[in-house]
Amino acid sequence: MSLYRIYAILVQEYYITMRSLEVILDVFFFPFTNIVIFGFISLYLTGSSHSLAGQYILIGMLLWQIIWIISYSVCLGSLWNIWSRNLSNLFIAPIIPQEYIIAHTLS
Amino acid sequence: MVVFGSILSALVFHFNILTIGFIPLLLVFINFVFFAFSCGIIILGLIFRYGTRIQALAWGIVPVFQPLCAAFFPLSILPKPLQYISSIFPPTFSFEAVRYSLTNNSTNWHLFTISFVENIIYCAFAIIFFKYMFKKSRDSGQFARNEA
Repeated sequence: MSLYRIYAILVQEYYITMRSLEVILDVFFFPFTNIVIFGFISLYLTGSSHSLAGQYILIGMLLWQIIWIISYSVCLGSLWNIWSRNLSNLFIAPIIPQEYIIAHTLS
Repeated sequence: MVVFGSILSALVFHFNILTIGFIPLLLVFINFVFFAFSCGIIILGLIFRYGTRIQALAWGIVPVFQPLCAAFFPLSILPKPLQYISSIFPPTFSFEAVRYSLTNNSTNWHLFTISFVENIIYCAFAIIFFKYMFKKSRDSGQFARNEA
C-alpha cells in the first residue's frame, strides 16, 4: 500500500469530476435543489402548529445528503472507469484493491 | 456540499445546524461516513461480481434506506414490524440521536454507541464481502468481462 498510488487515483477522480457535467450535477446540484425544496417545506411547516416538524425534516435532509453523496461516489467512481473501459488498465498497474477503495472513500 | 447547504439553511431558512451542538454533529458525521462507505462497497462488490447489468443498484438501493432509517420523522411513526427492521440499520439511531439533541440540547451517548457498534459490524462485513466478491470476480473472469 502506498500513499503515492492513492494520490494518483485521487487526482484521476478530481479530473473526472471537474470535466463531467453528470458528476457535477449529481454530487452538487441535486443535493442543492433537494435542500432548497426541503428548506421551503420546513419553513412552511414551522409556520404551522408543528414547529419542530419542519426542523426535523430539514436536518434529516441535510444529514441524508452525507450518506447519499458518499455512497454514490464510492460506487460511481469505479463505474465511470468501467464505462470508459479503463478498469483493467487501472489494475494493470501494481495497485491493490485496498488502495483503490481507500482512494475512492477519500474522494 | 453539506457545509454549503447548512450555511444556506442558516441564512435563508433560519435554521442553524449547530443548534444540535458540535459534538453530536461530528459523531453523526462519522457514523454516516462509515455507513455510506459500507453500503457503497457492498454494492461495488456486487457490481464487480455480476457485471454492469446491476449497475442501477448503485443509485437505486440507497434511497430504500431513507424511509427505513427514519430520516425525516421520528421512529415511532413507523409501523411496528418496520421498526424492528429499521433497528438493524445504524443511521436510524444516529437520526434519532440528532432529533434528541435538537429537542433536548444534550448528547444522547446511548444511541450513538448503538449506532457506532452496528457501524463497525457493518464495515467489517462490507470489507470482507468486497474482498470475497473481488476474488470471485477474478476467478470467474467476470472482472475482465465487465468492460466488454
